[in-house]
Amino acid sequence: MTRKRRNGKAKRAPAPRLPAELVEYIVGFLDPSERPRCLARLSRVSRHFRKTTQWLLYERICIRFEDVEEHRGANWPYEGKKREKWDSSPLWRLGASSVKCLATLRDSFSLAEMWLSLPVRIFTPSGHAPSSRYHELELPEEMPNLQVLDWRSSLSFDADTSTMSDYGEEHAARRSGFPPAGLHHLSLANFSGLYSSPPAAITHLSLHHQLSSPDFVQLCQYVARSLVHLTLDFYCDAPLPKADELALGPTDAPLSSLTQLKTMTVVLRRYSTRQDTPQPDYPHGSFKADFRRLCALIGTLPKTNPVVPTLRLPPIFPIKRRQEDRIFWRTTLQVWEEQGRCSEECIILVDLPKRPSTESPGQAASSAPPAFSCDRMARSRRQKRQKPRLPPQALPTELVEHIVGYLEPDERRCALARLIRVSKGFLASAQWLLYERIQVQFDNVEQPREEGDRPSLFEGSYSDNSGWESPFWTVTRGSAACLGMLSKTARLAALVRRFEARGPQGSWRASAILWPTDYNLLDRALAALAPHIQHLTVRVALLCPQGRFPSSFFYIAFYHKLQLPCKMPRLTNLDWRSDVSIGMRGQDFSGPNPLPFPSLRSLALGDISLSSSFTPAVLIGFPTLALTHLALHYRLQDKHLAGLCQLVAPTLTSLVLDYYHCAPRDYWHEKAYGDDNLPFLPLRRLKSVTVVLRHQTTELNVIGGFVSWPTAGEATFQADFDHLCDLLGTLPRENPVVPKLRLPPLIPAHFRELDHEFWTKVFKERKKPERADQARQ
Amino acid sequence: MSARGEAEQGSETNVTLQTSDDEQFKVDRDVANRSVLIRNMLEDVGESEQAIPLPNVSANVLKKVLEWCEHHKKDPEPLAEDLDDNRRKTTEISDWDAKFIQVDQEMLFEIILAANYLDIKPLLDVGCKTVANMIKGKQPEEIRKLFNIVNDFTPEEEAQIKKENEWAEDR
Repeated sequence: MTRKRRNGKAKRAPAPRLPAELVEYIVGFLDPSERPRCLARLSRVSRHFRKTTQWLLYERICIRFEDVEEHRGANWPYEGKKREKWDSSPLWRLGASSVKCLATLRDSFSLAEMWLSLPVRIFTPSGHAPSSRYHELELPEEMPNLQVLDWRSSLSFDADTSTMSDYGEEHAARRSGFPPAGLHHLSLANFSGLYSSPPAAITHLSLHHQLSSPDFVQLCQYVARSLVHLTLDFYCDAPLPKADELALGPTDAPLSSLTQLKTMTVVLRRYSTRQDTPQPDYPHGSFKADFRRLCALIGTLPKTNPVVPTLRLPPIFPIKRRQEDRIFWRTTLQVWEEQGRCSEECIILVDLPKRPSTESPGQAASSAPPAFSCDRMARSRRQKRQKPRLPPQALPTELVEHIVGYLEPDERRCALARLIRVSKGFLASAQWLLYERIQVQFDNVEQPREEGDRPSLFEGSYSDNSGWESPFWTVTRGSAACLGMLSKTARLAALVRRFEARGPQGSWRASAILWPTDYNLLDRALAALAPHIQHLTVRVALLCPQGRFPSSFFYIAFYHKLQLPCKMPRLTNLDWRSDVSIGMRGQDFSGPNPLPFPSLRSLALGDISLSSSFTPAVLIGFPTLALTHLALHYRLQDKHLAGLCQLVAPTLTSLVLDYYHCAPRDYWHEKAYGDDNLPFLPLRRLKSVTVVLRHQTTELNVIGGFVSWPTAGEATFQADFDHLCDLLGTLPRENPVVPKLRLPPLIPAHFRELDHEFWTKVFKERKKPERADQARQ
Repeated sequence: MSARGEAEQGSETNVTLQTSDDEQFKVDRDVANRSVLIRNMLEDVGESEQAIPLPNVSANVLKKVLEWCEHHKKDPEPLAEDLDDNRRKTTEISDWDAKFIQVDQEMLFEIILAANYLDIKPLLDVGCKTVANMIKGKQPEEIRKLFNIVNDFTPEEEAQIKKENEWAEDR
């Protein structure tokens, strides 16, 4: 139904918008030559479109060359040569659009960055490049991330001939450092030469040109260690290797070295069945002889790890004849097999297994080749399907993370370290998971390592009174090795996003001393990680190489310890639950420089003790702090809490009061809040408040199967709860926030329900009408 | 109740799911609702007799998934805190689930992928716990053998990687 306007015209429904997410899918239908133009125009549609289309536009750079037809001059390089040999001009130049594209890449730093970080495929106009022309392959060395290389131009690796005469100039053909270390997919045509480069990790190799047998053998040996998928797509007219060239000794057989090969595809692109007859017929030319040579080539595959090669034939036109074409080939091969003209290798070509996989290699060699039939082909395919075929790499990375998340921390670390070594498919995801979060572990040290160390560390007023734990910590061997590796290897340091330093077995201490060597190790690693860390958790109370404390030690230590975190450009979350004492011993609070914290949004503080003379003015050290989340794990005096809230009020939206310490005694003597002392009043942007009464853990009676008041008793809880309600009552009224009260989980887990019922009953009984909106569970 | 009434009730409580290989499964709505994806689709579409297409799940996999859903249809919904990835996880699996997940490796991965796609967190947990148990304590070579993975590292690369991550293996 349409609604009419006052002037009588129907109001149009809003035109449907083209979703930018579908641009790639839509543009994929366009002709490749039209794609860049279309993408360029779409990139001007909106910012959203630009974000998508710019990526698509520059992801794949296709440089096109044009023939130079009109070139007359003394330097004409092919003077006297038979130009008619080539389909096109022997001289090329860059097309106008390609020149513009390259100029844009050159001039625009941002685009060049994008381009350099992407795999690039390089094309030349066709496979008909003059064989005498050698190209300098400079690009891959400048592309550390190059993974896919499709190079179908003339190419020579490490050719002994260092110079070639071309265009009247000398061009070096020697290559070094090729292929790049990260190259996995290599597609080649029109190349020749020797291969003396270090072994590469190429898993996919596509050859589009016939090679002489020695070159082919060398190339196969070169990639044998890693090659998994081989494609021979012979579209050139060069003859296949001769049978006598292929029937070399067992060590020279071209494919015999490919022991890791899993799939092999042969495309007989030049052997199209004849289309000038009513039914498909043998291709013209030397098909039969070439086919036998191909069978001989496939026969050189290693016998120990049988691979079933797949034969692909070029599509014929019209499409309706494809089925006839397929039937023709199957029938032909079947007839040949019946006539004994088809060898075992020929059968392989039509997807039959070479030999039953259950047999041992020795048995397999002596077994007769399987008979050929279409039924067996189908059965073979079914068997192939039934094999476990899904490698773990097919699992999304997030599931790998999910899977290892079930392991204990030590097991997880160990499993990830081993997964990294499994394959390159795992390397990327597992390495990220291993290094994304680094936890430094400490051990207690009962005795100093050397007697001489003890005075230098212990001299002074420091004395440990914790009773049950050593005042000395040392970095565990594993953590020390990790820190050493991170400080040395920038590539690994760049992966770290979370850094955690916790006490032995996760314990919390008020103070501890590290050995100077460990301290320096930690310091160096943190300096290397500083540009990358986003989450920093420090539960180490005091990292101090010396035992003598200056008069203003606590503040100085706090201030100096924050010097490094405050300059971390990416640091968004800081969990600093170490001994942070400010204002002790009457020192001056003003720091020499402000602490910038450019990205900090979430701050968790614990064990903060402030002197009675503390005022919000001391917080001038944090002039640019823009916190959105603040978690306090220590119960501050209200006036100190007020100062902190005032500092963070402009931006704070989430507040957590996670009190795991008992309330100080003076809390019970404080008066109700007056107009001049309302800690939470400035927090006008606050959207959530969570209070955790961590020390109010109920007593569990396992035998009786019930829970009762915490050890401190009902009276203590009531006083604590009343104080908490009064505190929450200072929240701003104009934008009311409903605080959430959480109680610590009870262990064992199956008593949680009882615990929950207990507290629900308690709160119902104690709920006062005026506090109904203040504390809700 | 009349036959028509029964039919109407049946259409309300049953859901038809269509797999990638065009097989259709008619299941109880409570069973289908174990999948967050299907539940959301049903809420969006409303009452409809049309089959819900599941293009990423084949029939044999969906059959296994539905078997699990049928057995766990009365389980309470996982609490928000249970969904928190930061909680402490264990690799313990209940007896029934352990027996259920005793399938070949291909099916195991298919179940994991299907549970991920259908958003069935508890089933995903069962699958992932099983894989976690499989890789626990294994050497790289054993993992390769277990999952049929090709070692595509050169010896030099492997040695370097081993050296880099030795700290993590040192327990």
